Amino acid sequence: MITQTLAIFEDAYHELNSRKIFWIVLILSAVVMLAFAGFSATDARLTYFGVKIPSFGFPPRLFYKSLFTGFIVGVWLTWAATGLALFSTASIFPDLVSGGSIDLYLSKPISRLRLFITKYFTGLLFVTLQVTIICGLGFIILGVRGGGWYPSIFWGIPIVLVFFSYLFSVCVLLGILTRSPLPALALTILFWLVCFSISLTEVMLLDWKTGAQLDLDRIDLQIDTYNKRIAMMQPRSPTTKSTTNPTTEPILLTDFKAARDRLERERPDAQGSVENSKKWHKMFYSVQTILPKTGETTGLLDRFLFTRAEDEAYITSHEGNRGKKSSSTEEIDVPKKRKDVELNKELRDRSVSWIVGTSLLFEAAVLSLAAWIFQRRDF
Amino acid sequence: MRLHALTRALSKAGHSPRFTRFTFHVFTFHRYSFAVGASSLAIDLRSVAKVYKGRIHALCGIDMKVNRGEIFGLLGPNGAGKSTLVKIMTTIVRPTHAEGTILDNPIGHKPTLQRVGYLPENHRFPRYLTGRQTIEFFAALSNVDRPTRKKRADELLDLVGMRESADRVLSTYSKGMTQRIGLAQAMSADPDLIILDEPTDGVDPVGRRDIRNILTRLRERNKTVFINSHLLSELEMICDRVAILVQGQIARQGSLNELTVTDQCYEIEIAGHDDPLQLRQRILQSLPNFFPHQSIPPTAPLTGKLPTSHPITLTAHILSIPTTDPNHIQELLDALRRSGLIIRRVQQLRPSLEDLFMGAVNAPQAPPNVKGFPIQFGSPPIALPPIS
Repeated sequence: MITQTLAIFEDAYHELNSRKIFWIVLILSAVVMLAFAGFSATDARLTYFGVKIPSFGFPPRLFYKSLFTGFIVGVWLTWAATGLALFSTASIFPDLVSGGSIDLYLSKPISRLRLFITKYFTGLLFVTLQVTIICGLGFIILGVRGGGWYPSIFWGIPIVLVFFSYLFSVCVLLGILTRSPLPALALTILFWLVCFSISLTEVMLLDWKTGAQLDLDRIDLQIDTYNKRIAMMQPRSPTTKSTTNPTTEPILLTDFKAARDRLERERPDAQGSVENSKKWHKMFYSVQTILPKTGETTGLLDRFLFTRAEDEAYITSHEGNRGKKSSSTEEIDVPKKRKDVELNKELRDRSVSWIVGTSLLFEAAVLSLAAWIFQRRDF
Repeated sequence: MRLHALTRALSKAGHSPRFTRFTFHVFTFHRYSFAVGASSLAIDLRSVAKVYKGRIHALCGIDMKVNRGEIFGLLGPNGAGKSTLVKIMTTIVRPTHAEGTILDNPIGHKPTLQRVGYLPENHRFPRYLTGRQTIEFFAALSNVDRPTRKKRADELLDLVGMRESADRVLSTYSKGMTQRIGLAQAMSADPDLIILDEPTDGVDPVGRRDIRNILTRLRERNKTVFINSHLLSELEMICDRVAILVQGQIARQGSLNELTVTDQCYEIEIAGHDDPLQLRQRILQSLPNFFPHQSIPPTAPLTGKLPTSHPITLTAHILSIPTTDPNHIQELLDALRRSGLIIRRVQQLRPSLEDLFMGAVNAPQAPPNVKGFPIQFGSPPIALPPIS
């Protein structure tokens, strides 16, 4: 049994080795990592090939690390390398099930299910090799050039692998159904874009919901504050009250009442906005729960790479910037940065089991369907 | 099922579970031993049927027996169901109905495929592997350990004459070279049964002869070879037995001798410098006992009778006797010699495989049984010899 599995993996390695795209992606990755190695960070400054560059208010070392997660993992591995990996692996199953090839495999003493599963894992080999090399280089570069050794960078390997496996499972199913790599690849990319759009919409709705909720909270707080101030300025004894003429009311009190009334008129709109945002967000959140969460999965690397203290530093730097810019008129609006912080907190508080668990459930369902078709089909 | 009934009966009879279990194991072992040791059939198919999408009847109840150590040929026109039958045997296609065994195990038994080598038609080997890697890879898929497959790859490369090109990738091979590597991979697990689908496709005449020699050597080593081919002349040269598949049914099955026994004959050609009509007259005059009625026009074939009551036909200066027994023609030969006629040729003739094939293909077929199974009409019209 192990002989067959090893043979299939060895064959997959030979196949990878023979494909130019594998080497092209590897060379491109090396170039990207070389460009990344041009940065150098100390506690005081960030340079690129010796030229000092701004770190946008972040501690330079933290900024350098965030460049790795944000650009190398977030852009290069997540989009470019994954796209190329899909392009390279989309033909694995259509080639396997093509006439003349599948006959050779199925006539051997290996069960269809085991052949399917083994072939599926060989499809992950491309990304595994790529991401291992990039994470290994990233670890060394961040250590040497950034002065910090982060073993948690290697969490990038399973994270990117899991992320790729969501898409690859769809590609496998489509490859078995269509028996052709091009439709399988095109439809997988379409599915990826759909997932990305839904995820983006969900985040935008969450942003709306968070903002609306903060807005409502602010209105309630201000109404409460005005009520307290008005209560404090009202005459206390009943005798005084009876002799008081409303027309002689202090101007400040009148302003407070007017402001409170204005806020109370605004409140139903804010309340409606919260309810609407919650309704729409819930709908998209439910859809997203079923679908693989590609962006959130790669975003998990931030959690492993940035400590809670570094998170605090990130939030504080934002709050500090907000404090410097604040004015009397801005105090009554919900500051955008505060909303971003809340939104970020909400996203980061999502459990790994929800992000990865539900995505893997989706993947398992897709793969089960593909395996079932593969097992039942006459070739 | 009978075994389970026996153990149930033992339980009911009050025997202890231990005794029942022991009996079960003894019988299972006995049955297994019997199965692996006794059968002389490599392939024993019964009522194999395949219906695609509920309406396309690719196979309509195939009964086929292939003895161990023989070369068996499967013939048939395009669309007859040959590939479907081969794919059912190799688990690539699931039968709608199938009974029988392959190497004493039920059809579809995966572990048995370790002892089966297969070369499909229009195969697509990984083009990035070298010839040697291809042989080793498919041997590994048959669970052959690394040292054995390395050693066997060298042997097989020598056998198929590909030693020189063994380390070139398949994308640089010609079709004939790929076919040789394909044949080698089919033998890479040292199988007991080798199934070849169009093995000589794309191979030059020298290569074809080499393949024939390889197959003959396999037969000498008691390996069973099952060939699916269109090349009737190739099959005729090496096959011990053949089956002709037409419209999903076995039309004919047996050894070439068995299949042609009714159509075999002896031909005797008389030589002479005379005018053909005079020669014919001389033949008739020398064989008065065999041709009593000589008043037929001289150009038409003339029919007579041997003392054994076998008919004789005289066409021009050739006598034809439909028999396989040489004793039947001795008296006739003696009479010809006595009369001074010169015998140029005495030859036993039998129809070629092509004649047989064309006869089977053109013969009307039984309508397929589409209602249920088992199907009765697929049995061979010629009785098989007893298999010992």
